[in-house]
Amino acid sequence: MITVMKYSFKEMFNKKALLLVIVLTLVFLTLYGYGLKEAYKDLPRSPVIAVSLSSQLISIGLYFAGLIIAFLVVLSSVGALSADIESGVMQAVLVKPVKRWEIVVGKFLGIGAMISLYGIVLFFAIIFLNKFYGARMIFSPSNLFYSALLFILSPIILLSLSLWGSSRMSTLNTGIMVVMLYGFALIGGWMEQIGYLLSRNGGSAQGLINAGIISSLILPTDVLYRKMNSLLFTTDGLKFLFNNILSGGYEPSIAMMIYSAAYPIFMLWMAVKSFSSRDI
Amino acid sequence: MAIETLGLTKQYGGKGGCVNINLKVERGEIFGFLGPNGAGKSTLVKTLVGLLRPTSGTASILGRPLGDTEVKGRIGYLPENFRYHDWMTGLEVMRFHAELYKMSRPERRITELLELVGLAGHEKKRVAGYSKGMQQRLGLAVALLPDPELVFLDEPTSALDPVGRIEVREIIRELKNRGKTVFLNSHLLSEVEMVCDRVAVINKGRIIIQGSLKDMLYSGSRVLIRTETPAAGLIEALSAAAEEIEQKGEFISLKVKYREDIPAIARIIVESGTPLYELKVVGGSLEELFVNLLRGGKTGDNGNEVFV
Repeated sequence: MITVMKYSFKEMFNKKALLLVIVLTLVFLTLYGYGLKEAYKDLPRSPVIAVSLSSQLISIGLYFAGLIIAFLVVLSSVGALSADIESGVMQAVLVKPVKRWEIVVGKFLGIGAMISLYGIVLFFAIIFLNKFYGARMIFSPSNLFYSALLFILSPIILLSLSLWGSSRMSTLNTGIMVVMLYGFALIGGWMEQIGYLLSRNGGSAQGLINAGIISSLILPTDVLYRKMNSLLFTTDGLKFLFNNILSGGYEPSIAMMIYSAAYPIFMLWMAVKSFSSRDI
Repeated sequence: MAIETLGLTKQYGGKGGCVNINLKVERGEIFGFLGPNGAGKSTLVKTLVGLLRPTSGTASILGRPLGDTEVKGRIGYLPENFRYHDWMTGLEVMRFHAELYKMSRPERRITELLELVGLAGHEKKRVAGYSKGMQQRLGLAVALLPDPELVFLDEPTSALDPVGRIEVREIIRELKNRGKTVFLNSHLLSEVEMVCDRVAVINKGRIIIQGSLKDMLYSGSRVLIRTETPAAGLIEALSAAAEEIEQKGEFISLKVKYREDIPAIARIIVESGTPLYELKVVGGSLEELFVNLLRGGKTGDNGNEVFV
């Protein structure tokens, strides 16, 4: 398993996808940094508005960073098993004294380690850029730590879904499924946020909220983003977060968080199960 | 026993694949598995190495059941349609597979094998830049990494030039000399004829014949004898050891079932007092046998026909 993990990690370094993502990331961070510089230059004096603006800018940065990581996850994992089967690489690997579950778990850990490393770097780059250009936010180390953890759990969830798809379907079909479901989760998250905003203002929007919950049950990536956002901007019980569809002013329930933590484990188990019985 | 299968069947949705395969491959022999394209050869090998799950039947490899992880460390497999990670160099591929085999100090073995398959000097090039023949050589080196007791070679020379084919043949013979068992899947009859001890022929998913290659070849051949006028009773005496006896002038043509029958034929002629001028075996190439078998439409419906 360690071998598979090591080589999966190494493989990502050798793929052009990673280079593409790194270039995209640098472009994004440069543009984002420039935007921040301009935005923080004339920050309003009112501390409430300044904090509000800071939190919005950080949320936007993390939201887009989440999209880039999702892009990397899709590129690196949709063919993690299926492409190796399709090309014939898997035939030579599976006849070695390794169990099939070791291949699946090794791939998960290898790609997961790379994604986590990348996610952590991106997360702190965004926080750093904001602080550097004058964000009026104070983050406690524990909040930063748990937020970073939640930030990388989201792509790990996507990775587990992608590996499950790759364990039983073709690379193309897995790619279509993962991108579609990720899109549903995003839109569902927005709908849920809009639903809450409407209901707070006296409207009835249970349908929108339900759509959000269902999409989160299918793929709880957006829900983690919202939890992360909420945690990041909560200090000493005070929440410096303002409602909009990106920042996620309403945090998910405990049940949803437990579900999100169990989701990748379940998906990985499903991937192992289907890969173990698959004819190669 | 290196390989033993009992009613092994692998079908895809009730179609294709291989059906009711009963095989016994002894340790230390080179076993040829012959058949036309699409006959089910690769399906059987993939089932034996654990890539496919059998539909029914059982099999054992080196005394262990199919898919046993421990036994996988003692077998080598060169797949027919394969590729190695093209972002790795040849050396990295070898190291990766050595790690999968859990070899503790593989460097010396890797150098040795790269020399053996003629890839020394190319090991630092990326596999993406390898020709098909080079990839096949690399595949062979990977299959031989753990110095396996049993090697499955699925069309090992399909991408090689004539020199490469001779080299692979030599490697196979060397494996036999060292007591290894080789299961050779091929549709190249000459290749099988040159190296195999025993063969099985598969057609439409079923084994239609299996046994010693020598006996198989003689079984389909005729013996042509030139004598003077045969002594009285010679033809009757010959009919005990041969069939389809035809006499035309000084020539007698007959068919034997086993190779061992040929000296018996010579003895009968000499003992009858008939002067024997010439005795030769006509036909008997694997190609003829193969084509006859396939054209004959033998399907082995009631099980496998075993020659020896």
